[in-house]
This record gives sequence, C-alpha cells and structure tokens, in this order.
Amino acid sequence: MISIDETDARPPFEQIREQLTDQIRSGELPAGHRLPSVRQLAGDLHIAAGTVARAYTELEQDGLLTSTRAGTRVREVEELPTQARTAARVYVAAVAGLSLDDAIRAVRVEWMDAR
Amino acid sequence: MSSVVGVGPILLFALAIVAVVVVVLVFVVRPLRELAMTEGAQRSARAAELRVRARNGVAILAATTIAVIGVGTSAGSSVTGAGRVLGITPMVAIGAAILVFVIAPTPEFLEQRALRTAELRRRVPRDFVSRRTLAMPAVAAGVLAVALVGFWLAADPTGQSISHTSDVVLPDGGTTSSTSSPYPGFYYGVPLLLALIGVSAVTAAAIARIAAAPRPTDPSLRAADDATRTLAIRAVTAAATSAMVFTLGGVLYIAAAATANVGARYEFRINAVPIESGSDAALVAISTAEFVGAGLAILAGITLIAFAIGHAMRRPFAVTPAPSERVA
Repeated sequence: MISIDETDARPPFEQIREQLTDQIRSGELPAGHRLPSVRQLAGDLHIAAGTVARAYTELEQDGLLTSTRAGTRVREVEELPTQARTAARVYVAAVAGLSLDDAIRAVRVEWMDAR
Repeated sequence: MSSVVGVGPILLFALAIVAVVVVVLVFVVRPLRELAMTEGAQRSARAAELRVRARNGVAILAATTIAVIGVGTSAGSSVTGAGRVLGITPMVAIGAAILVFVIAPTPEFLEQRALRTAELRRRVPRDFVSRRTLAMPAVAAGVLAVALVGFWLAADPTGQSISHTSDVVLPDGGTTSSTSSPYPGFYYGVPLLLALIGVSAVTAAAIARIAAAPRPTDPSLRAADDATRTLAIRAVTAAATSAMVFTLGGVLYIAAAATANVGARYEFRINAVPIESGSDAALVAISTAEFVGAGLAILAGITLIAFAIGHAMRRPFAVTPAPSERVA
C-alpha cells in the first residue's frame, strides 16, 4: 500500500518516491513486481497523473524501477542488510515516544559523530 | 419440421419472458453483499449506488432504443439490406449498452479524507470475477467467427445463397441444381464480422476500464466498490456473450432453413414431363444439426440476456450501521 497525506508538508511526488524507495529497498516490493499504471495510481490517490509520472521517472533514474511498454516494474536492487533492519527495529522500540523526524535526527547526529 | 419451426419462436418467446422475470426477481431480491458502514460511508455508498442505477438504466435504454430502431428498419422486406440490418441489430444494440460502461465504468465513492491510500499493484478484471466469466465472451466470439467464415466458404459466389447439384431420379437420369436463399455467406457475414469485432473491442475496453477505475480509501467503501465492479463486469460479459450467441442462433437458423431447402427431394415438370430430384442425406443431416444448434444458441442467448439484466438491476450491496454506531 501507499498513502498520500494532505497534511504532510512534503509534496505528493516526494511522498510517493520515498515510500516506494522504502518498500523496494526493504524487499517488500520484490524485483519484477509490476506497479500500477500512472493513471490507476493517480486516480486512487486523487492526484494528477503528472505527479505519479514524476515520482516513477525519478525512481527510474535512481535505478529502482524500469519502464517498458508493458508497464513499470521493480528492478533487482540490493536490499537493506538484515543486521541494519534488526538494529533499527530495536531502536524504534526504544524511542517509542519520539516522532519519526526526531528519531531520524538522532540517528543522523550519532552517524556524524561516529564518522 | 415446418410445424416445429412455426411453434418454436412462440415457445422461445414465452421461455424468454419466464427466464428474464425469474432471474431478475431472484437477483433483485438479494443484494450481492451486506456491508457494515459508518454513517458517512453509508451516505457515500448510497450516492454511488444511485449513480450505478442511473448508468445501468441508460445502458438498458440505449440497447432497447437501438433494438427497436433496428427491428423497425428491417421490418419492411422491400428495404434494401433489411436482412443485414436485422442481423447486426443484437450486437449493435448490446454494443451501445456496453459503450455506456466504457464511458462511466464505475461510480466515484466520495470521501473527505486527508489520508488516501492505494494498492501498489495493477488491478485486473480477474480481481473481481472468475476466469470463466471473462472467457465466456471470448469463446462465443471465436465460435461465431468460425461459423461465419464456414458459411462464407459454403455459400455460392453471390454470398447470399447456397447452391446444390443433385441427381435426377426420373425419368432419364442426369443432374439438376437448386439454389436457396437467404444463406449467411459473405453478403451477410461481413457486416456481422465487423459488428463482432466492434462489440468485442467495446467489451474488452469496458472490462479493462471497470477494473482500473479509481478506488476509495475507506475499507468498507472498498468492499462496496468491489461489489459494484463485480456486478458491472458480470453484466457486460453476459450481455456481450448473449449478443454473440443470439447472432449465432440466427445465423444457424437461416443456414439450416436454406440447407434443408436445397437438400430436400422435390419434383418439377419440363414440357409436362415429371422430373424428381433425389434428396441429399448429408445436407438433411447438416440442416437438422443446424436447427438444433440454432435452438440451443437462442436458448443460451435468452438465458444470458436474463442474467445480464439481472446483474444490472441487482443491488451491489446493502448497508447496515457499523458495530460502533449501532444503538444498543
């Protein structure tokens, strides 16, 4: 599933791009999976077809999607390491009171300090 | 045979009325699904149901209007090409009804939500109906196309008749040839093939559009939306198949009558000398098989049109209050 939150400050194409990236990199959307057409996804989310097309195009440029006349499919990509996902799950449980932005910020700060 | 042929249409018409009434009554009484919804979702679902009814009403009206015009135009036998007009009428009428589904595939379920969700997979007709439902019109189209091409090859060069040469039984032997028309050669077959291509294309477009049209986000509205799409695809496939099967029945009936004519024994006189042609057992057998096939096809067509009307008139869902909103 994918969602568009009208209260989110990020533009819709960015929300789509981010969610698709997460789902592809986590393996939730396997390689070869056929995504909905631009028209279908735009209709379901009540957004302009150009918005979905832009998100798909950017993901193609990032090497995550491939488009042919038969449709848009997920490409073979390196999944996030299991070890990283396990650590992230522990971290998320530990910072249950934080917002997503703050949780990511905390990781970023630690990341910068460690490097 | 002639008495059977004379009573046949009356029996079929009576059967048609009974079948349509029974199927429609059974379908109309029972909604496809019962769904629990919040009050807001109920309002949206009821509004969508009204739009479904309006669309289906327009489709039935379009088919009826074109059928009446087609039959009316071809009623006068002096009209040039009356048989061809009558022949394509079922497919053109049903094609017009299906075109309404292409233009308005599904109603929109209105929602006021800040968060909208969508599935990340391509929706296909198979998500809403069985493979058998989708195969029905394809198989019917194939059978009708094969029959039309077969009759085209069997007809004489005019494309309207069938000719047959038979041995003369009396008095001195020799051969005689006879011709019978109308016969569904290319003269009738080409317009029918064009109508078949048209109705097949419109059917495929309608089914694809019904499956791919936008969906609501609310889970209960999604269930209502599923029911709406299921009935719409069933109505379209049943209607398209009925048009093709009806046409097949008509074509087989015309071919059977012409084949029986040229295959039968007959007598005539030349200069007061009686001459008798032999009957052709193979042609008699073929015409009998064609008559049986025509009867079966027309019965199937009647059943399918009853199902199509039933699916179009059936309530896709009945709504009940969501558990959280039920008054104890």
